[in-house]
Amino acid sequence: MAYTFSGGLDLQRNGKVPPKPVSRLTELDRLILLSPEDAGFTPAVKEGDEVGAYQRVGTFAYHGDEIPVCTALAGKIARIVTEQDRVRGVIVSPDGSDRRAELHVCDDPVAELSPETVIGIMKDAAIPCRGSYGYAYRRVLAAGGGTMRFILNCCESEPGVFSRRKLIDGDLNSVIDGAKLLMRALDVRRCEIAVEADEKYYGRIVSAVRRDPLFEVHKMKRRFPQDEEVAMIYAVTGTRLSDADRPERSKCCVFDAEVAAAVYRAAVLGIPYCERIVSVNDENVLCPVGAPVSELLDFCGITVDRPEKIILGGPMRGKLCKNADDPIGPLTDAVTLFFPGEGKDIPEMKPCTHCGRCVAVCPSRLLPYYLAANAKKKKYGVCEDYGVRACTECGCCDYVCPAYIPIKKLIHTAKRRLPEELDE
Amino acid sequence: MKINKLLKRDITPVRRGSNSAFLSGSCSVAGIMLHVIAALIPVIVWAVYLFGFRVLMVIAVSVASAVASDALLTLMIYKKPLIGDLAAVVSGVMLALTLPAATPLWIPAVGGLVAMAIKQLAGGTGNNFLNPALFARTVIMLIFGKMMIYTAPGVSLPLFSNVDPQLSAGTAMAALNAGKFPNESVFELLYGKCAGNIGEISALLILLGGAFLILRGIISYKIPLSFAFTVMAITYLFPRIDIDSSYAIYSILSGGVLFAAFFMATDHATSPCTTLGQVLYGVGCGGLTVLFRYTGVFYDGAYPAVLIMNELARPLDLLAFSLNGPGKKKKKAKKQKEKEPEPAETVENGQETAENAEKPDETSAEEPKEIKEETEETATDVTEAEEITEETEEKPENKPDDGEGA
Repeated sequence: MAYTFSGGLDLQRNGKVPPKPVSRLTELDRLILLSPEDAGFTPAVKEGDEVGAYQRVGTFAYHGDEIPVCTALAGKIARIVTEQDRVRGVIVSPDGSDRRAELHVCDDPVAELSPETVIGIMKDAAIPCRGSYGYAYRRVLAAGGGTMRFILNCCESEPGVFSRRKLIDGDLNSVIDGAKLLMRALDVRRCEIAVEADEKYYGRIVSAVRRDPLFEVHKMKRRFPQDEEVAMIYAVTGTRLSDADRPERSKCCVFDAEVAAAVYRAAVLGIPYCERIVSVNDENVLCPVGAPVSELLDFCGITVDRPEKIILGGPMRGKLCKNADDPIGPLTDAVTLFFPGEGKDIPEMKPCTHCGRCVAVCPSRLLPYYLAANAKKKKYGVCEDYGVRACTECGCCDYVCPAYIPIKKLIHTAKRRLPEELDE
Repeated sequence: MKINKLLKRDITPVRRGSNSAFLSGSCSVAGIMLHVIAALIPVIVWAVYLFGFRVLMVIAVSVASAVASDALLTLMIYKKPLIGDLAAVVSGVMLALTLPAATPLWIPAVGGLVAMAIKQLAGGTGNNFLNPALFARTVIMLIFGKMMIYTAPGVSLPLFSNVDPQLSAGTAMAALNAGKFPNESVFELLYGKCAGNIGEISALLILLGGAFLILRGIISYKIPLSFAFTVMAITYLFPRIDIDSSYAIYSILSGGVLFAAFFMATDHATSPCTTLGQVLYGVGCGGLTVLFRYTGVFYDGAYPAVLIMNELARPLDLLAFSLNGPGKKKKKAKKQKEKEPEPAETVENGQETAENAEKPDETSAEEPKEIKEETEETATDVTEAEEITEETEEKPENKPDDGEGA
């Protein structure tokens, strides 16, 4: 029997994985490496410096920690980007050489690594993770000790996004070895792999870990958004996560397959996190983080002017890309394109009829209509009381709303207006 | 309007602003309303077969009056009329179906106006806190109740002129109210060969329409099921007249229980969205229905029961959320509980103390004793209703806090 969660959508468009192998994008005019919007960037290089691939070009502060920024390609520092008198990052112009920075490879066998070592490796490699923690090492630290269940998320439920399945297809061993490293970091003895009931991927993972008592594979129902932490934890453990009890209190830790693969690469090959697979239509590209969207589209044979809308991410959770020169972020799993003539204009917004569809599909069991109504009236305090922080912005409510109310947008606004949580 | 397109649900990419989902897969509000109309067609066809074309006349007058008043009233308050979403049409049809076919034709016309007036006064589509059709019906019944004539099926009715009061026939509901055994058999009530309001004749066709709506995902099965089950359970356990065990069957098949459960109580704007809220709402509707029938002044308790529960729809949702949802309220309440066992000011604690305090008092409450004994479920429901009013009363106090948090 396949596991599933309450709410969510059945999106049939989530079709077959395109058979084309993952191509690698290496020829770029520039690589834009920026810090997050509100963090200051400390460059470790000067303009005109030559840098090797995987070299650290600077750091930025994130909740009191220094997060390194690395370049995926060798080249020259073209410019140091400043915005409003603040350094935001650097622009590298790759020169196509195969110069490499010196990489620190971990020599000890995996089983003998201490949790601290693995966490250190994760921190130095700047491996990001989805959710409020931002970086995988912070997630591990927040999880703390104690009896934990570690769930490796190999599900991918958003239509038009194939990057995780492509990663599993091409590099399953590094995902599994990475999961072992994550087990060391979390100090747990067991890893539960959650994979959708797709015969091919399920079968491959089962046969890969069959002899390994450390792993257990769960079959999940294909349903959007199965890969969200809330949905995953409920499906596997039956624990209903809430805003009040954070994942660490539910004794569960969910990591995506990409994180596991990145930990493996960082520990065994010494390569920091600076490349990821991005799905563009039916192409899947191993793309350096920081590559401008326009160049990625060029590489896929799409002229930038042709699509009417470029969405960074899948069609449900993605964000509109306003400038084609914006860089691919570390968590961008896809670029969705709307060509002219494709896609309807959304009809005019109507008043909410309280049909309850948004409540029925919400994987976080919120009252989206109520949150949206209060966000519209700018009553953000009420939104907070009614658990707006627990919203994962999966977009299910937007999808089902018959009155075409931009619920997700309103909730997003409310979330941004809330004060930072104290224990963060 | 492309009906096919409205009824179809497929995933289409949509162009929206940032921070929105770029896929949409729902039918529009108009599509939902079309579904409701489609579900009512078998009921209407059967009524036309039994009572003749006057049925269509009543519906036409009611719909025309509702649509016209809706448009007029929206224009009067400088809003753009939303005729396209068909909500006024559905209200008109619903109102007509709760009236007998022999009604004087000006009554549905007045009803349509009353329905739209209450709807627009309450803030228009979606903001109305009570079902406009039900409100209009209740008003009509209170004012013109004596002019309602029920005729036996098969009696030919004039298309326009008023019906001769001589033709009036007793309904199964009237018989039950009078403590008598209805003339119709259970089977006749089931497939529908009895006197009554247009929409409530055939239980089977109502179930058919309801099943269609449930299968199409327009309404939730929880409200009708809990509603009907509560009525069945209470009337089975505490029959008013001792006619073997079929009293429960009779009481659910006669009158408007099924029609109210599937079409009235499930009205989106006036019913809860959460699972727990829906169940509580259905139980409340059922309990009140039986109460009204046993001791109330109304001829049939189902409609006023739904009308009263309508006001509790949104509070029930919020109650269900605070009991069951992942909100912060729960956390606050928990923390306070840990700190001090004394009754704190939070909503949840307040409710709990109210619940504890009310349980021993149940017997001494204002309602007559018989009912108390008879309807345990109703009793708990009434306390729930009181809790909710407490919650709504407490709200304004909480608001300043919320404002500071923003």
